[in-house]
Amino acid sequence: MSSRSAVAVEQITAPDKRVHASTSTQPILHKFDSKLDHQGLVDDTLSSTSQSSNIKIELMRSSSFSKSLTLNLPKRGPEPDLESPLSHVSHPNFSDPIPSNSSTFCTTLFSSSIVNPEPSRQIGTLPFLPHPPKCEHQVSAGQLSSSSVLLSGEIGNSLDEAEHSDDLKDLLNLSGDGSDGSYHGENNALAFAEDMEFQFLSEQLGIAITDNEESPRLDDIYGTPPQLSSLPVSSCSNQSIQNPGSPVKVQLSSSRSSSGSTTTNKARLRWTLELHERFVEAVTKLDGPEKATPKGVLKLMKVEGLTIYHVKSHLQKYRLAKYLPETKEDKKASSEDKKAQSGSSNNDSGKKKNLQVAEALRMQMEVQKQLHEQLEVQRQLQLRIEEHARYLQKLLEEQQKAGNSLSLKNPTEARSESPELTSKERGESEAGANSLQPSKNRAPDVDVESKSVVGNKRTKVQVGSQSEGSCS
Amino acid sequence: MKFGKRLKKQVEESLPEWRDKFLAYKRLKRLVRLISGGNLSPRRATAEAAFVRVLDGEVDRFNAFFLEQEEEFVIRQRELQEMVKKVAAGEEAWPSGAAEMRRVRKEIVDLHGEMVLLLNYSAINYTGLAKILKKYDKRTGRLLRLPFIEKALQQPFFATELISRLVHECEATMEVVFEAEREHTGAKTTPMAVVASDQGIFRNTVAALVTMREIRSGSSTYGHFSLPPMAAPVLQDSSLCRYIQVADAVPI
Repeated sequence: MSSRSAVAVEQITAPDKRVHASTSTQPILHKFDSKLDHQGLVDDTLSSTSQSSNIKIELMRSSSFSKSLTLNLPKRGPEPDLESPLSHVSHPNFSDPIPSNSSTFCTTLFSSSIVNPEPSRQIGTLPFLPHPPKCEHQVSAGQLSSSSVLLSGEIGNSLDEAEHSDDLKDLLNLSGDGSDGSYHGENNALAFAEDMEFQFLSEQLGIAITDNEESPRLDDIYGTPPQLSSLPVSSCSNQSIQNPGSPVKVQLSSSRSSSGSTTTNKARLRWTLELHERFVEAVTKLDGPEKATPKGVLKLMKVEGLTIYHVKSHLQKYRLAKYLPETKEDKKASSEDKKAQSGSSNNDSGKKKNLQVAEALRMQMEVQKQLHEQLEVQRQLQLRIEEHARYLQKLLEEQQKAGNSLSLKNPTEARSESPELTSKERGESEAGANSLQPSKNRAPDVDVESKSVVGNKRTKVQVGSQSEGSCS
Repeated sequence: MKFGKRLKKQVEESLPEWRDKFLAYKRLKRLVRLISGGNLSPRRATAEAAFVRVLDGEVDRFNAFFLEQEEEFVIRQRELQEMVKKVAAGEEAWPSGAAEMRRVRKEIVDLHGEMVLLLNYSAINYTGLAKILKKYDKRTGRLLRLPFIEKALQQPFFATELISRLVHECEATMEVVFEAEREHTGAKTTPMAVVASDQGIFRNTVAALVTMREIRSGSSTYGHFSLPPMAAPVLQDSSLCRYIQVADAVPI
């Protein structure tokens, strides 16, 4: 314990560097303000108990999270108490606003995600509604893991094999919400971390992350509910079919997670042109952005699913956008006036300057247009490539299935068949296909069916010709 | 150059607020290395799970940033259009209108530039994802790439239709504005030294183009699923090349 606090002190002295290294806040982070308590301690302890190089890494890690850790210091005390709060995570525990590594929320959010699967599902069933705050889970998760990876990553350069395993250990311990069973078992397996504190820490994490659905999480990833895929699609169509007059369902973006109500109910709203238009109308009715209140605007807009938080943040941005140009305008106007007054003699040079500026603008525009064009082309290509890859994958699966069903009848045939089928899908010529004829004698029907299901014209033709040949 | 380095370069050249919003490619790469290095099966499973989690986190990050920027652009675009209407209407008062006009033009060009850069952001991150997933699949023998990428394709950060539309509208507005300008000054395009109105955006844009071209210029793993080389005739245009060189030389 004492060693830990001693090293912790060492870390405390380094915060200045961190502060300097801070970059701008990531936009999502502010949502997590209330959740920073334990993990911050946990994290710091973790790094403090590791080798000294980790402290340096801690600096880099925290810099990427952009919030000063100095505020963390007062909270370093009650480490032994971590276990109990961590074991039943609830919001009140994390209400202390401590800006810190966002990785701190990880555990909290994960545990609370267990608590809130139902609400999320319910929300998920509403059209256009997002799965918002679980995205925050994953953000924090990602950041937790990424912080640990960064940790190990940064170490990785200078360390040798032995330490590489330490990296992995760090990594695994930090991103502790691995599959639960294996994780807990793993805790013991990872006892090659001589550091007792290290293990203690991982245990804490283990407790915090109890029952976190790693596998369901993966399911989420792989078998993501169709809602997710349908949402962006509907967003595109929504933009075109939105009827400005009628009450509109707001287009909320989907993230890949369901909403846990751990954080505030801020769904990731996608502000379309139409939605913004409505917003502006409402604001003008209420005498401008300064006088308009979020509540008033919300009421006037009459959009289902829109919350006051959405409106509030949007109003803020709107105000900035309105008043920044105004201040700029004044400055420029005054400078232009001065120029105009003194400019009679400098008229030519002034004009030339204007031309130059215009030319520069034109150039800039040219480059930008080009980039845009290239990006569009690239995007189309990427979409097509993925489509093709998906198609091939499907083909492969179908043929494997066919191969499997055939193997019931004739193992050798299936085995010889699948590689040939695979090579067929790579665009082999008719000649190759014809070689399959003898082997296909016995079950041409099955093949034809599976091929036609896949719908590959090429294969169909080939099989068709084969079956014709063989059945004739 | 490897993608990681190109990405890093791109990030360096990008607008300051954006720098930490890009894909953590290096981190993920190290993770993949760890995964393939690890022998112990349970450990490996955890590491793989961590990889997926990081990926998810990254995607969520992209989404959040992208949507926020998009929102801002929607607001700015609309305001600019209002301004253009105003300036175009009040065009009789030419001297003072000129200043306004100039400012508006600059605003439009900058907004256009930033939007295109956001599109570029989306594209680069997507490319990074695709690449790292390919590596992952290769190293672990799993099939994570396809389903994940499919999901990525549907994410808001890759659903760039709105921004694209805004960009086109911006270009249209530009036409209008520049038309008016040309009428008044009878401007002839004179070649001159670069006075890029906004170093940051211009530089970033040029860097993006160059990077894109490099990334697509073929690699050791060029195959069916690789993007073809970029056809960018304008980049070879001599005058533009000059600007590109100058942009490189000028410190950000």
